Amino acid sequence: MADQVNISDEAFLKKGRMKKSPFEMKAEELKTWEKKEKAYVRNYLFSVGQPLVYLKEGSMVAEYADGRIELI
Amino acid sequence: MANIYIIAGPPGIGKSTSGGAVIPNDLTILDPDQIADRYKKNGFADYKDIGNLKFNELVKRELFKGNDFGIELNLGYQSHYDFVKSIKNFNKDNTIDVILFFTDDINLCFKRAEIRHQSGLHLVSPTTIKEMYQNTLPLLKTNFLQISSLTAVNITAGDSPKIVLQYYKKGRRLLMIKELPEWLANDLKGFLESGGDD
Repeated sequence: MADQVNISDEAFLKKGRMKKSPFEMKAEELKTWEKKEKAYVRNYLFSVGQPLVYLKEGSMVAEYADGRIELI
Repeated sequence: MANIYIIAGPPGIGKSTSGGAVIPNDLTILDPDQIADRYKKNGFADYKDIGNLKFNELVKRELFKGNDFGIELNLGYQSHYDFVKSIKNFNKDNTIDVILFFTDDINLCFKRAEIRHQSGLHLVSPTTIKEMYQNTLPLLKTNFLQISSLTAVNITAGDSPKIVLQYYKKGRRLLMIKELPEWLANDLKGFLESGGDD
């Protein structure tokens, strides 16, 4: 029970990560941003035990951290 | 004066995953679902109630400090806007900047929410998702008076989130891409072009 009450406030906070609005980026800059963002999303979801859900060849799939890809 | 960013959109749209990408660097974001999930992981049986209390406490802390900060809120029910109103009333000079994540494909929300629950996180029923999805745009228009700016982020299953429109109430400035998704083109665009008060 002692552990239960020892969560610091900081542990509940998330942080923004936008240094420049993608809406104001030039095409090349936006491409780089999208690539970085895709990598971030992938790493984030896998780190919290969730799969990445996306369209693959017209079907919705879930890709897991261990490499499995399942139709959903 | 503080800028308060509301990361909005129906369950499963990707607010928690991608919301940080459109919030200024290092700004605090408060996510009630994430707070409740953290209590759940730490063994609290009443994690939802205690999570809500903690969320409210942290929002108050930021308001009293006068900091800019972000919160995640579906904005799918009137009660969510009532909460936003209470934040706005704390200091009328504060701005409410809504960043709306939305999609033409509700199925994407269903699938992501289902998978999220299977992975041990919070459950939102398809009925609730559908209700919030259908409520989102009508409620946004009804409550538009509370909002200082709107950023619309289009979500598709294949691509990264894309900012497709920005509207600033001050000066009635509307910026958008040429090819808008249906949810904006069919409804919200006209509303914003008429100044957001039709």
